[in-house]
Amino acid sequence: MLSYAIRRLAVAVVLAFGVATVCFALVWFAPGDERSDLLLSGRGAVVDTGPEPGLVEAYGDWVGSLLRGDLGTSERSGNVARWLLARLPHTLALSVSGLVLAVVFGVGVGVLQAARAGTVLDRLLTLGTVVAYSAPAFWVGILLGGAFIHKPMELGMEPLFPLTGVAPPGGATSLLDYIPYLVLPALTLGIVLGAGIARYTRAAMLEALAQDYVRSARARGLSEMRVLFRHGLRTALLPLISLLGVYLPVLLTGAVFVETVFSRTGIGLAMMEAILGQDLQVLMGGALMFGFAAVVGNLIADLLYGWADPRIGDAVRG
Amino acid sequence: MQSVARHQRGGVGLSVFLPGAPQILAGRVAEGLLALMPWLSAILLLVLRADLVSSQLGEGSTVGRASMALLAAAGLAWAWSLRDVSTPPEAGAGQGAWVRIVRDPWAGIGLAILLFFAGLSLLGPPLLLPEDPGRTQTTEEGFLPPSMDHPMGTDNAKSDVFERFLDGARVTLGIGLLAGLGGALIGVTLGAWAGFTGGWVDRVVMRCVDFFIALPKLVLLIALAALYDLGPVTLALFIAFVQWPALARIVRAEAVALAQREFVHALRAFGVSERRILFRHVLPNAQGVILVGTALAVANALLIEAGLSFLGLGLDSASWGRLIKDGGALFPHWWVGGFAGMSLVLVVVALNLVADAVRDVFDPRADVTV
Amino acid sequence: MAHLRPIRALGTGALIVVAACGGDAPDRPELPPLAVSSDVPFCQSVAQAVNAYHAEQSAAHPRPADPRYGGTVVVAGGGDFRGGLNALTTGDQTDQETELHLLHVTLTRFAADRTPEPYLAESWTLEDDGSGITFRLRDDVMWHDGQPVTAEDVVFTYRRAMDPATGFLNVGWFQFYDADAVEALDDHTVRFAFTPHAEVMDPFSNMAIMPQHLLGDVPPAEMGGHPFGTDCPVGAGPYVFEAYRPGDQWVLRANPAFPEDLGGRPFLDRYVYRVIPSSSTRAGELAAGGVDVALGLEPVDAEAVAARDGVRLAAFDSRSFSFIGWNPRLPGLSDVRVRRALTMALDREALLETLRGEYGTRVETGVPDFHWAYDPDLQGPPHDPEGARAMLDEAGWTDRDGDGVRENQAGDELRFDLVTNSNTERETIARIMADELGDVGVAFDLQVVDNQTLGARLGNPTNRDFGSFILGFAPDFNINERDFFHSSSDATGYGWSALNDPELDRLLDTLPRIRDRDQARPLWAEYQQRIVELQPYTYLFFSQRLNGLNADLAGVEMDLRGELINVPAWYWNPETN
Repeated sequence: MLSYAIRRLAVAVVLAFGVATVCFALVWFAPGDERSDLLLSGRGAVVDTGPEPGLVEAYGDWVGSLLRGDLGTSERSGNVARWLLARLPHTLALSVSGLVLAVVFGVGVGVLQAARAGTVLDRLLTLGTVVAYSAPAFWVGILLGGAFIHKPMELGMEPLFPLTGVAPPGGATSLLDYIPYLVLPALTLGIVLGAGIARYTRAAMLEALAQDYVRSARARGLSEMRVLFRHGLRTALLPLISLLGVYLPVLLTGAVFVETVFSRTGIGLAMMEAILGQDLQVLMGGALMFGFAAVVGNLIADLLYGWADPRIGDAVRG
Repeated sequence: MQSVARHQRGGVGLSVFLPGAPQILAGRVAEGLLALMPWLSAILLLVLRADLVSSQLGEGSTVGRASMALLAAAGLAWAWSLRDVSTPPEAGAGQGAWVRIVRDPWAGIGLAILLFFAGLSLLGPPLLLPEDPGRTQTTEEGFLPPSMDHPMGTDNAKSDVFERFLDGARVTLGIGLLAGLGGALIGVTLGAWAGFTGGWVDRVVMRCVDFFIALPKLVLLIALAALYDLGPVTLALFIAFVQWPALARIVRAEAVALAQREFVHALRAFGVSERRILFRHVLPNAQGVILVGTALAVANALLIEAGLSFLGLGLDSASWGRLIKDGGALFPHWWVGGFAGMSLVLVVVALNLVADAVRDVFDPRADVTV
Repeated sequence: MAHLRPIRALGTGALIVVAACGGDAPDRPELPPLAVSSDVPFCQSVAQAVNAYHAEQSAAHPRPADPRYGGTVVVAGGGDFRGGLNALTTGDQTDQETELHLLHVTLTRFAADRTPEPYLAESWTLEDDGSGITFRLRDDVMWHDGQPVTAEDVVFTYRRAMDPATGFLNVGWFQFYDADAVEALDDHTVRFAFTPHAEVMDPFSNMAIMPQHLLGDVPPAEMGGHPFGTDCPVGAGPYVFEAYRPGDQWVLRANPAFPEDLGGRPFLDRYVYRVIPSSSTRAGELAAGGVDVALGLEPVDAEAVAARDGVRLAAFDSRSFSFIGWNPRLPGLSDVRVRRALTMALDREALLETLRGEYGTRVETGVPDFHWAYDPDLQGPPHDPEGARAMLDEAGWTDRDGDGVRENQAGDELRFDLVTNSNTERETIARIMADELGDVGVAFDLQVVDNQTLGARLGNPTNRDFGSFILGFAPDFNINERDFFHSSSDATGYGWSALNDPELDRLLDTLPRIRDRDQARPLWAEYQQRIVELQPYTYLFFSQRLNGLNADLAGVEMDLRGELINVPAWYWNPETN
C-alpha cells in the first residue's frame, strides 16, 4: 500500500508539473507582445531593461515562482495567489457539496433502478438520467434558477433562494448564512454529475446482482434489501471511487459555469472577470488552481481506491 | 417488433398519403419517422410558401436548391415506404447490427431528432426565413412572445429569435460535428496505433491520455479561447484536441484485445502487412466502440461550443450558447434562450440514445444492462 | 469627471423625497465595533487608528433615538471600483460619486440649483479680476483616523492632481491654473491662482480631498496601484471604510463624528455597495429584496421594476451619453468621409428606440439639449445607407475581391477592432452595428472587456491600438472638450479620438476663456457644427438614468448632480419598516 501511495504521489507530481507547463505554453505562445510581457512582468523578470528572457529562462522563472507559491502580481488584482485564495472557499464549498449531492442522487437513483429493473419507473428514470446527463451545467442552473427564483418572482411571490452571491450583503454572521446561497448551485452540479453516477451505478448493480454468488444468496433466502446492499452495492461502489476521479474535471468545469450562472464569487467567476479585465495573471492562476485541484482530486480517488481495495495495491496500474 | 401489418391493404393506402406511418405503427419508429419527416416538411413547405417555391424552383438560387432537395427527399421517402410495405419481408431481415440499431425504438427517436435538426439547419434558413435575411431591429417590438410571424418571438434588439436560432444551429451543430469527428479521428488513430503496436508507443500515448483525462480541459479551453483569436476552424480544432483522449483509451483497449486474437496471429503468419491488419481487420472489429465514442465526442463537442459561447468566448457569430446567454434568467422572456437550451439538450440526448443503442448491439455485456 | 454649472431650469432631475414620519422605533441592532483589517503593511497601522478612533467616537456620539437612524442599505451597481476609493486615480462614475459624497469631502458641493454651497470650505472669496480664489476651511472635520483636515491636505490633493505623473484623468480642469497655483495661507486657508476663465468654481465640488499625512510620501507615479485605495482608504466624509471584497462588495460604516453642520451622523449605519454586472440581475435582486437600490437599469428591467409592488423607479436626466468613438490615427478612419459614412450607415433613430425607448434623447454632439450652449438648429448626418456607400466609394474603399468587405487600393480591408464593455446595451449596439455597417461593407472584430479595462485601454496615450469603441461618458456640467478633440490632446488620457483640425483647435482654445454666455453662444453653435462635420464620434444618445429603489427607503434624492448625492440623509421609513 505504501509503495502504491508513493507511486501515485509521484504520478501526481508529474501531472501537476504538466499542468503548469500547459498553462505556461498557453501564455507563451499566445499571439501579441503584451501577453508575453505580462507573463514576464508578473514573474518579476525585468522587461524594460536588458534583453527579453528566452523561453527556457522564462519557463524556469515561472516554475521557480510557482514552487514558492507565487502566482505573480497583476496590476488589476494585486497578489494573484492572495486574490484567488480569498475566493477558494466558495468554490470548494460548491464543489464538495455538489459532489456529495451527486453521489447521493446517483447512487440512490441507480440502486432504485436496479432494484426495480425493467419496470416503468426504471424506464422513466433511465430517460430522466439520459436527459440530465446530456444537459450542460449552465442550462440546468438556468432552469433551476427559473423554477425556484424567477418564475415565483414573475408570479409575484418571494423567490425561494437568493439570486446571486455567496452570503448576505455585509457579510455572513454564521456558517448557516451561507447555506441558502449554496442550495441551487450545488443542486445543479449534483444533478449533472449525479446522472452519470446513476447510469453507472445501475449498470454495475445489475451486473453484480447477476453474479452466481448473489443468486445463491437469494436462493438462501436472504432478504432482497440485504442482497441489494450487501452484495450488489458493495461490489458496485468500489469502482465508483475511481470513477469519481474521472468525474472531477467535469465537476470543476461545472463549477465555473455554475458560478457564472449564479454569480458566485468563486475562482471560476474570478476567471471570467479576469477575461473581461484582460487580467492574464488571474486567468492563468485560476486555470492552474483548477488543474491542480483535478490532480489532487485524482490522487485522493486513487489512494481511496487503493485503501478500499487492497488487492489493487501494487498489482495494477503500473 | 416485427411487422404484422405490412401486407395489409391499409398499410399500402396509408403509405401513399403518409409514408412512414405504417412503419411507425409496426414499431419501426426510426425508419418511419425518417420517411415521414421529409414528406411532412415538403407538404408544409408547399402549403405555406407555395409562392416562394413556385418562383424559385428550378432556379439556381439557394432557395431553389433547398426546395429541390426537400422535394427529392420527400419523393424518395414516399417511394421507399410504398416499396417497403408492398414487399414481403426477406428471410433473416432485421438480424444485421445496423438494422437492429435503426429498429431500436429509442435509437429511432434519437436518429429522428438528429435528422430533424440537420434538416432544419441546412434547409431552414433558405426556406423558412424572409428572402432578405432580416437585420436586427427590423421587427416592430422587442421581447415579443412567440407568434405566427415570429415562431420563437423576438429579443431585446428586436431581432427574430428564430432567425438567430437557425444561424446558431448551423454554428453549434457544424462546429460540434466537425470537432467531434476530428477528435474521434485523432483518438481512433492514436488509440488503435498504440494498442496494436504496443511497447513504448503504447506507453507514451497512454501516459498522454492519462494526463489529458485528468485535466479540467474545458477550463484550459476557456483560457485558450480568451487568449487566442479563434476562427470556426481553429475553434473546432481545439475542441477536437480535448476530445481525443477518451476515445483513444477505449479504442486502444479494444485494439489490445483484438491484437491477441488468433486471427491476427494467423494473418501475420500469412505475411499480411501490419497496416493492412490494423485497418482491414482490427478497426472494423472495433466499429461499435468507435461509433459510440464518436457519437459521444460529437455530443461533448456541441456542449463545449455552446458552453464557450455562453461564456462569451466563442465565435462572434450566432450560436445556441450565445442565445442562452442572451436569454439570461429565463423568465420572463423564456423564448430567447429557451428554444436554444432545449434544442441543445435534445440533440445531445439524441446522440446519447443512438450511442446507447449502438453499445447495446455491439457490446456483448449489453445484455446485462438493458 | 465633472465640473459644474447650472444647465437648464431646475426640474430636469427627479426629486424623490418622502416625508419623514414618526412612529415606533423599529428594531435595528447596533453593529459590532468597526474592525478594518488588512495584511498589507501600509494599512495595518492605518486600520488600527481608524478602528480606535471610530470606537471612541461611537462612544462619544451614540446613535440618536430618532427612529430614522439605523439599518443597512444595499446598493447594487454594475462595476467594481478596482482602482479603489482614491480620488486621485479614479475615473468611473459610481466610484467617483462614492468618493465625493460618502467617503471623502470636497471644498464645495452643489446645491439643488447647481450653485456651489459650503462643505469643507465654510466660505470663499473670488478675487475681482478673476485671477484667484481663497477658501476658508472648517476646523471641525476630521480624517477617519482622528487627524484634523487642514489646508495642507487641500494643497497636497490639488498639487498631486495637477502633477502629470499622477495620471489624474481630469487634468483639463487645471488648464488655466498657474504652475504653483495652490498655497496654504494658514492651517485653514487656501488660495488658488489662475488665469481668468469660465466656470471657475467647478473643480472644487468635484475633487475629493485626500489625506496628506497618509499619502504625502507616496510618489505620484505609484498612486495608481497603492493599497490605500483598496485596503484602507481613509476619508473625512460621512461614511467610513469598513471592508472591500474584490469583485463582490464594498462596505462602509456611518461616521459618528461627522460635523452636525454638515448633516452629522448619517441615518443609515451601514452602506453596502454590491457589484452585480447584469442589469436584469440587479433588477431581480431588487425585486427579491437582496438589494435596496439597483443603479443604472436598462429600460426593459426598469419597466419591470416600475410595475412591481414594494419597489419604485427613479428616472432622471443624467449627463451620460453613449457614442461610438473612432480612432482617427488609423488609415481608413483618418478620412472624414469614412467617419461620416459610418454614421450615415447606422439607423440611430431606430437604435435609440430599440435600446432606450422613451428613456433617451438623440444627440449630435456632446452638448445635450438641456445645456445652455445647445444649438437647436443643428442637423446631424442623416440615416442614408445609399449615401454611405457612395461616400465610401468616393473615398477609395470598394469591395475589390467580392467578399462583402471593402478594400482600398493597397488591398487593406475596411475592418476595425470594436472594443466595448460587457453590458447588454453595449453588446446589442455592437450586434446592430455589425449588421448595419456590414451592409455597407465595413467589418468589425468585436472585443468585450470590462469597464476598467476599457477605460485603461482607451486612456493609454502611448498605445492607441484600437479601431473603434462604444462608450458612455458623463461630461461635466461645464462642457470643455479640449481634452478630447484638441490637436494637443493626442498625448493625454481622453484624447482617444484627438483630431488635428485648426478650426476646431481655435474654437477649443477660445471657448473656455469667454466668461459671458451670450457672447459664447454663437461660438458654441459654430463648435457643434464643426463636430458634426468632423464626426470624431458617432453620437448615439443621451440616456435617462434608471434606478430602482426599495419603496421603504426614504429621503432619496437623485438628479443631474448624481445618484449618491445625499446618501447620509437616506433612511428606512419607520412607518413601514
